[in-house]
Amino acid sequence: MSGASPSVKLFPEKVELGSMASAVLTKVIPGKRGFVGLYRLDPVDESVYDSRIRDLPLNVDSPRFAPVPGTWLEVLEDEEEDDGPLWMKVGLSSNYGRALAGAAARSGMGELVPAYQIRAMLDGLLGVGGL
Amino acid sequence: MNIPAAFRDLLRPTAPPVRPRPRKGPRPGLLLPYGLTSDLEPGRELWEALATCGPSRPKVYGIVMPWGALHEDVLNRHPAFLASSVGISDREARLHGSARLRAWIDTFGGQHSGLVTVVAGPLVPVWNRAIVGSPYASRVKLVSLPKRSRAEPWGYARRQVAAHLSRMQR
Repeated sequence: MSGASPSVKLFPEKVELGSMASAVLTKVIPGKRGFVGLYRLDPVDESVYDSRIRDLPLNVDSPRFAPVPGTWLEVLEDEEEDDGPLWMKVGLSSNYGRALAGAAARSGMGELVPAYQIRAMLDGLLGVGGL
Repeated sequence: MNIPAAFRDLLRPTAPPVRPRPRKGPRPGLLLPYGLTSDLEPGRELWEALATCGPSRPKVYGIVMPWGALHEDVLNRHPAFLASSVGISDREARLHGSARLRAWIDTFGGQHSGLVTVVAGPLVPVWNRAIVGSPYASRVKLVSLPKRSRAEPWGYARRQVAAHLSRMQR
């Protein structure tokens, strides 16, 4: 993604998810097919967090939710701790990301996958999980 | 004309004539302005009339702000995603939508034998911004709705879509 303007980031540093949680970007993982932003979910209100999202990884058959082509979202449990935090992966494919980077710079997008998109994709995934 | 017996058998048809198989190339794509009227949603009358007016059903996408082009399956299956409030201004939504539409055309345009787009109203500047300078611009056929004075704008659009799809599916 060398064509990206320096002012356009791939993912936002932090995403507020209402009273449920806030998602903090811990690292960006480059891969062959694109980039993954790894977010840790920190509960804001424990009861809302528990009722809305805690069981999500168990409730969905396919955890990957990709309504907008070239991007996807996945919620995972911590593999090492039973009661550990949930993690969220946000993916951006390299081809689409490269094309978007050029157009985004002209459109004033601060991030290629903005916070509102992550919130909307999580809402959609929660809908799939019946939560 | 006398044909020697040895050749007569060769000339006799032994199997039904072989017809060339239809080519299984990429399908064309049809982009429709999702929600422009209450009938422009997958499964509704106008949407289906436009989607099925060609020789076979193309891949059908809805243009949705600020998400760009979404496949009709996504529009059908994920109401929670579409209903989610994004909290940005209409102007930002149009700018972000045109950026995503442009990225979609540049990334996925090559997977279709051609693209037919129906745009109208507020989507016209969004589409113009998305398509200008795109390497796939020459493969896109644009159908604009005629002025309101015309009695049946959607009948006209359907005939135009059908004509473009027929040429792409030849």
